[in-house]
Amino acid sequence: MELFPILLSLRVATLSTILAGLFGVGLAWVLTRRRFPGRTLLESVVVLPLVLPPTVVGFYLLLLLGRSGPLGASLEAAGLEIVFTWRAAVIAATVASLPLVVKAVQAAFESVDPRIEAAARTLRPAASVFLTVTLPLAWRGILAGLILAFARGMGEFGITLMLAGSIPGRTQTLPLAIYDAVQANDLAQANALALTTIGIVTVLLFILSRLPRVRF
Amino acid sequence: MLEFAFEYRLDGFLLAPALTADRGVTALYGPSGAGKSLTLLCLVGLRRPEGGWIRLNGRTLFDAAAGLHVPPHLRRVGLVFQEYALFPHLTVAGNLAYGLRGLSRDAVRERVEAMLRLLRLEPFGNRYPGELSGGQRQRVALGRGLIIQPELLLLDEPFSALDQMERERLRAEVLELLQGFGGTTVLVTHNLQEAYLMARQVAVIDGGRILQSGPRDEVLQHPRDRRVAEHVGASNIFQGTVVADEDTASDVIAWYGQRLAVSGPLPAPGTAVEFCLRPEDIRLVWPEKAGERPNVLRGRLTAEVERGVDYLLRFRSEGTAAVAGDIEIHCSEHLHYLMELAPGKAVWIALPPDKLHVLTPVPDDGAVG
Repeated sequence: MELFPILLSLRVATLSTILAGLFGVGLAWVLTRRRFPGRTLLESVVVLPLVLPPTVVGFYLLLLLGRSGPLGASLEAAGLEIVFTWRAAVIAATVASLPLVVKAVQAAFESVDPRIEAAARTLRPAASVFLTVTLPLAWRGILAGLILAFARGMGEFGITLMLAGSIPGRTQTLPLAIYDAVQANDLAQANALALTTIGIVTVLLFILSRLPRVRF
Repeated sequence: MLEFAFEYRLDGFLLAPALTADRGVTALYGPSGAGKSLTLLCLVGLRRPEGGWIRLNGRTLFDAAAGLHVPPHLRRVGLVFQEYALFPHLTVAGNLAYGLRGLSRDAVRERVEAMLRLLRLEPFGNRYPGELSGGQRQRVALGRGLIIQPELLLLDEPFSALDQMERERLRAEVLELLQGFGGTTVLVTHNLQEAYLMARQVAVIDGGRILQSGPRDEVLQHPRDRRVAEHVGASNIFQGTVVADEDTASDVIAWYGQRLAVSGPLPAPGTAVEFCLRPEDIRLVWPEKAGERPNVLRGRLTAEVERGVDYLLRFRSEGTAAVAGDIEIHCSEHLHYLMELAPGKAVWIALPPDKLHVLTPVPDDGAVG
């Protein structure tokens, strides 16, 4: 069995979980605790990757981050190649898992009694309150969101294919490798990779089920 | 000393309270939706008013004109929430220590231990709020506000989450704890009895404005106008006209054929006045002694409500038409038994001249503040 796709997928899922976690927690906090014009629009945009076909999301990311794209050109000028590298796979997985993190963390923040935060606010500055009251009280929901994000990162297919391609030994993640093996009629290889995926995801779901008081 | 006058607008509701509160407990008393809790949130700085100012012992906490808004944690103001809002993930000691920043570990431990002793919660320092009784939680909430040595302590309906028996015990406990607190306390309540029991100063708030404030007896006995009278339970409110009395050479109130003597000053004869009388200040008089009392009315009881510890009676004077309105009387169970009171019975009542209180006309909305 080839190890590269497994290691790549673990790396991609880990990095995308960290990125989606950072952005997701921030976005969720803004969406639950702040009232501003365009809030509903922002919320809709965040959820888009969940409802749009992955190829559509991948297509527009490709236009945005491609060598002649508005963002891709400047990144390339700065010496950072994105498209058809492992970085593109990380971005693809991040975009795909961000709505899951935002939704889970939003629910977690909403379950924190605002009066408890207000009481803390009378005793400490806002940043300290977020770290010492809001986050600890919401950690179960946040952790659940991160686990979902990791699973999503492991399984990302459509956006990754559009943005990173399926270059064996370079950008071929686990799901892409399984697809490739099936196309090449190498069922033993496909089976080994698929069983590995099932193993990893099962462990994650087990952890998730052990988190009390979180409902999906 | 706390002084403030500010405006805060919320969904068409205008909160515009103005008050000066000295050291000691001031009750902010009013019905639900009067703006009591919102006033506290503005005082502690969790809400920012649009106009006005807030000063505490000469320190400006908020000044709209100067663009000054001191953040809540720097105001030296403790706020105890209605449902306590303890941190469920921290122990009792952790809750108490939360507001103590910039102190050494030893100093924090010392302060927390002293507070636990004061609250009589020494054995509970390592417990979590979920493991405490309602009364213990309330003490922790109070301790969390007091431990930062605030200059102003705000209590938002601190007893409303407790049952009756616990409430009475805790009122005494809180008063005891507050005795060691040298600052100003503002207690929000919608319970008149609680306001009276806990506070020396009472401020009546409704519709976002302080209608009257002052020593509690002053506010209860001398409500400024009809709205305050209604809030403080002076439920007998009537309209009459000031007339000159030929016999005594002093002015009296003419009220549906009766002439009522009043101890306090009256406006010039010919003026229409509103006056009020607390139901517990009305005296039921034995018929043979009726001649000895001023302002005696003869009439009948029209209804009675037994309220456990006392009776609420309604009385209609013989001389006055029904339009004058029934008079509400509170009378003890003992007196009710002695006088064999019942609906329909003919009785004499006396309206003590020193308890008849003339109200000032209610100003038009918008004319105040």
